[in-house]
Amino acid sequence: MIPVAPTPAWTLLHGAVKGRNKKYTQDSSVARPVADGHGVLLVVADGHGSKAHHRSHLGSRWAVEEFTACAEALAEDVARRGAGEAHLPAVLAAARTLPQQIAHRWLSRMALHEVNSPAGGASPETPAAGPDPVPYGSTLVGAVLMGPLLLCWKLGDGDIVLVEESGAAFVPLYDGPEFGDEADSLCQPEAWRQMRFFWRRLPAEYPTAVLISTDGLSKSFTDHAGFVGFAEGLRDRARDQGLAVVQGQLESWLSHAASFSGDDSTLVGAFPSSRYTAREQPSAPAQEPPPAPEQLPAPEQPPEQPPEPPPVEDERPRQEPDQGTPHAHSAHAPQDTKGSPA
Amino acid sequence: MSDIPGGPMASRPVHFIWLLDCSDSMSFNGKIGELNFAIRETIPEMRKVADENPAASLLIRAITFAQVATWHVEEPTPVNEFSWKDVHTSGWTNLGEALKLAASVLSTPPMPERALRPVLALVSDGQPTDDWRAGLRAIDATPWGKRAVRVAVGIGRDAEKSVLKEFLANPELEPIEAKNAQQLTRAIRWASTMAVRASSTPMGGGNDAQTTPIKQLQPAAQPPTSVADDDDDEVW
Repeated sequence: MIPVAPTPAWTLLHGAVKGRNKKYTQDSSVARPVADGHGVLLVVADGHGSKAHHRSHLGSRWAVEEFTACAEALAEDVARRGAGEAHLPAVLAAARTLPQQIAHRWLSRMALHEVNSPAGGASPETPAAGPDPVPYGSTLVGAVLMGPLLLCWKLGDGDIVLVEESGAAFVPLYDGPEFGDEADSLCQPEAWRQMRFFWRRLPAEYPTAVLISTDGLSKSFTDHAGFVGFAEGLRDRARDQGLAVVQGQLESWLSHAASFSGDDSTLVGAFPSSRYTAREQPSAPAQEPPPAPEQLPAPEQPPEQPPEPPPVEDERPRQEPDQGTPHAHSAHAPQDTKGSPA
Repeated sequence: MSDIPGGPMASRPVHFIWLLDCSDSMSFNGKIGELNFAIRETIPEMRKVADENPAASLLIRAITFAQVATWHVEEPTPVNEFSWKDVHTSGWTNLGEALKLAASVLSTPPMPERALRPVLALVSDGQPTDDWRAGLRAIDATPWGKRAVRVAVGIGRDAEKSVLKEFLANPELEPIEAKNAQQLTRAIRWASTMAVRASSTPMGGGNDAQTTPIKQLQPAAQPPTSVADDDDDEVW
């Protein structure tokens, strides 16, 4: 058996705020290690939240839970069989079955809930043709990182951003300008056909940060470039000030964003620990004021380790440097199955 | 002041466009005067709706159509700065031209990259005198036009209901009928406030307006077939 390719450890970032004037949030999210720490899982779901989708807080929670269950099983399988070139086709084939699994499990939970507590109330005289999923509608965006292998799924709005070592951001599965608040949803017929899949081998020599967020964040910016700039700026802050500082500021940033979009805003992220957890000196111009004393590492000493960010878990390094076989495709050649049935 | 990285932030705009019939027939029985009154009266209501939703910036424009279609208010004007100047009547009912004029601003640009669905509110008392379907096609050919929240108010018995219904592009929606001044005021109030609410309501179920279930497309925009039960005198 070929083991999973050596995995860089990931430090997770996680923040979520409720939209202004909302009684409760319809966003759900998880960011945590999977497969006994061989990988990490990131997922956000955004319940539609309007009157027509008045149970979408349940829908988004189930979306996250079912994604987590399915993606964990996949991650464990990848950990068992490895993610080398020989096994990649099988891994990708399994990954492409996830949308149907998730949608089926989500619909089953919805149907069970509807049987016990119909959203429209009990009406024995005119029984419904079947459970109506519309009140539970939710989007879903998730990713699994196993070693250098990144697997992403996306249904509806929400964003995945990869920020490379150079600082450049890449937004896979981006559809272009949005029109209003339309979004594909788990509540629509055969929703899995709209769930899109993306994979990439992340280059070990250029550590890449992965950010996933609900649309409450991106829609607070006047344009897409502004949102991409946020991802790049967040990564710069993580590099210059450390992830603990970013984690400490994340919810205030999300709250600020939510004051414009009015929507719940959630962001989860994974950063290569070896590159981002340790605090590093910013490459500031000489004329800028010197950093505060507590930010200065002692000369010739290893960089100071920042405190652990409280809401996230840190997957520690556990292996030698990456020896994974580079994929036949360039690491910059995304594989996108947009539009094809999963 | 937040030090959040990234570009500028802003609430998303809701572009509201009145499409007002100013043909000669609107001068009969004081219809145009009542229309001016109704729109002026509804501005505070629109401000109230805008205040309820700080995540949306309500911007208003108006097109009049008669012999020609022209911008009565061309600049998208924030509702808090919006005031109404009376419109006047002249000539025919060139609805198609008005729809084409609206279509000209429903692409990106000039629409921003991020916005809420625009609102098109059509008020008419008669039959179009030009190729109005060409105008409707022009609206439907724009990304924002085909997604717009549409409301239609027919004034009096001569209003061509089938045209208004086709404008709505939704078999479950009906034009609102106004047969007297009170009903017109209520119709205008309903059209302006509910449409803005509908525009800022999130939708789930797909980004293809042709295949999205209708009830999901316009969850809050089901108009009453009659706007008043107690004011049913048929004046127009």
